[in-house]
Amino acid sequence: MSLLEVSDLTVSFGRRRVEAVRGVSFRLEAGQRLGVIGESGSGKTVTALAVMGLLPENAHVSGSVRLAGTEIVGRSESALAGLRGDVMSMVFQEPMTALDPTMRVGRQVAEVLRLHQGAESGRARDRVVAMLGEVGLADPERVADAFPHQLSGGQRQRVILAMALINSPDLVICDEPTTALDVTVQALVLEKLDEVLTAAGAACLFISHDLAVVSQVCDQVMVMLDGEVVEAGTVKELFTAATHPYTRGLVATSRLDLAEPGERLPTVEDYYAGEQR
Amino acid sequence: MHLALRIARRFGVFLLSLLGASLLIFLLTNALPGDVAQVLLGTDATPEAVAKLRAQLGLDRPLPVQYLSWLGGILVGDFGHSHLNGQPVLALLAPRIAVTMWLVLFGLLGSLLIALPAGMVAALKRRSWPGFTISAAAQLGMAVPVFWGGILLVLVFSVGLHWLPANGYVPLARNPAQWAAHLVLPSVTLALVQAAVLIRYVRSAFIEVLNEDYFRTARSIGWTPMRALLRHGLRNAAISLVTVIGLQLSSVLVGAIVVESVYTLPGLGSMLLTAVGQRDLVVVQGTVMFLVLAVLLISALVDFSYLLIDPRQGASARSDDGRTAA
Repeated sequence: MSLLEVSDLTVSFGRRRVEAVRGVSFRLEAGQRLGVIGESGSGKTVTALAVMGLLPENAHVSGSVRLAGTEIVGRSESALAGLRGDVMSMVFQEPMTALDPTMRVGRQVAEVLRLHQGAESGRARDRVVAMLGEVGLADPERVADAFPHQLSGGQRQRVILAMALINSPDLVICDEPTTALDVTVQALVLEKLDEVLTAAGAACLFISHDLAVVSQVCDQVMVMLDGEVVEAGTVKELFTAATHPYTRGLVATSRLDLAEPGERLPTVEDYYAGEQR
Repeated sequence: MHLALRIARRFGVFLLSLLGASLLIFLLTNALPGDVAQVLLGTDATPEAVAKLRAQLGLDRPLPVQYLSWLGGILVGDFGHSHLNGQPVLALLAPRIAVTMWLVLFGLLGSLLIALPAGMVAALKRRSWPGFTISAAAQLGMAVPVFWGGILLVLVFSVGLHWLPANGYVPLARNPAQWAAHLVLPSVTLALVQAAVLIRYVRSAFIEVLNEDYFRTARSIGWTPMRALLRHGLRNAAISLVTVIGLQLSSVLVGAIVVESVYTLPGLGSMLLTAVGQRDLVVVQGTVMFLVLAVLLISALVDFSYLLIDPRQGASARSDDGRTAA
């Protein structure tokens, strides 16, 4: 049995049932890392939110999402809340606004522990400080006592990483976790993510629009376009033998080292001009 | 900005507002038609007698002189003496302040008790029937005049069911049970009307929270929507609600004045109405001035309550705050 099994997932929104995701199917084994790549609006985030059961009320979901054999689609809110933060967790794109501005970050991390483990405050505090150290924050004691506005973007994103990993979940979903960070901090956070995922043995669904970033963290990649999966395989297969023209465009644009000086850089449109755009 | 500087600046604003209000109150009350000397002496008094009494009361002096002497008195705690019975205005105010204070306090607390949960549910269920029902009820509540709502409550709970007294007031020190019983209907009337207004603000403050990233984070770590709202929404919503509640205080006071006359409570409102009717301008000025002082003081307190609610406020100027920059 796979850890995560998504089959024929279709998500539409509103009365007019605008489809954001159409017939998406994939599997994720325990400890495996799957990158989901595609431009904005291709349905990456909607797929992730469907797995977490966090889609807005006006979403219509059909198909099936099974986490360790348990169906997620149509499950009650309280049953899902019990899984979130414990068995599966999520790291969001925007570290600047993802933390409660009125609460010390240590308490916010401790909350994840208490919600699922019922840990007492003294021991929770030790675990929180240790976890903040594990994600690479220097002076974790001080960070735990800080409010979000007193931390930098990179520090906040690592706090969120600590929240997502403190209960050793089986599945961590990362939705463009480094997009909002500058390049040097991005490399640092990716490195720590790789470390803690390995240490926890957690599987990861890693969403990005950046093929280079995905190839750094993941072994498997799935390419989404206009709500559908157009190509899937290992990172190596994708780079060497992409079949879909859109994927070939993505690969070409990520290999800037192959560009000849003085020549125009390649664009995705050179390889694939979508019918609807 | 440095905290001490901020407090000093806020205090300056407070004093200036008070000065402006005193000038406005003085000019407006003096612009009222009618003459207290005429009221005192009756309609068939001779013009000479009226003029003599005006001179005795100091009403023949130029307005700026009258204003300055009134203001000077207030600064040393002397709000003047009633023209009608010669009693100091402050002594007239004292017993009535308590009545209005209780009414405003319970009215405001009651409105929060109604509006906070109702507004939260209205936000959370805004696309289904509980949300629609609450919003519609709030809309209806806003359309109901205070006095009409009060009379309706009296008809049901006093006249119909005989549960509560319809009017009057018993001081707390004399009989606590009777005191409470006499305050229930007036407080509920005031609370319902204020809650109707407040619910809309509470609802939109919480809808804002629902759209925040930290709310999504809270749900992603395992809170159900309602508990995420209680845990992470209350404090954040309070930041915008505190302003509204501070501003609403003046409308609560106006509401209290109407409620007092519906339930014949001997508060500031009924005193003000009587004084206006009798053209006892010193009492009118004193009462209004006291109300203004109370409102300004509380809005200053509201400003400082941000320091307790929002940790970003207390920090001395980190202008590179990510939330404002993002």
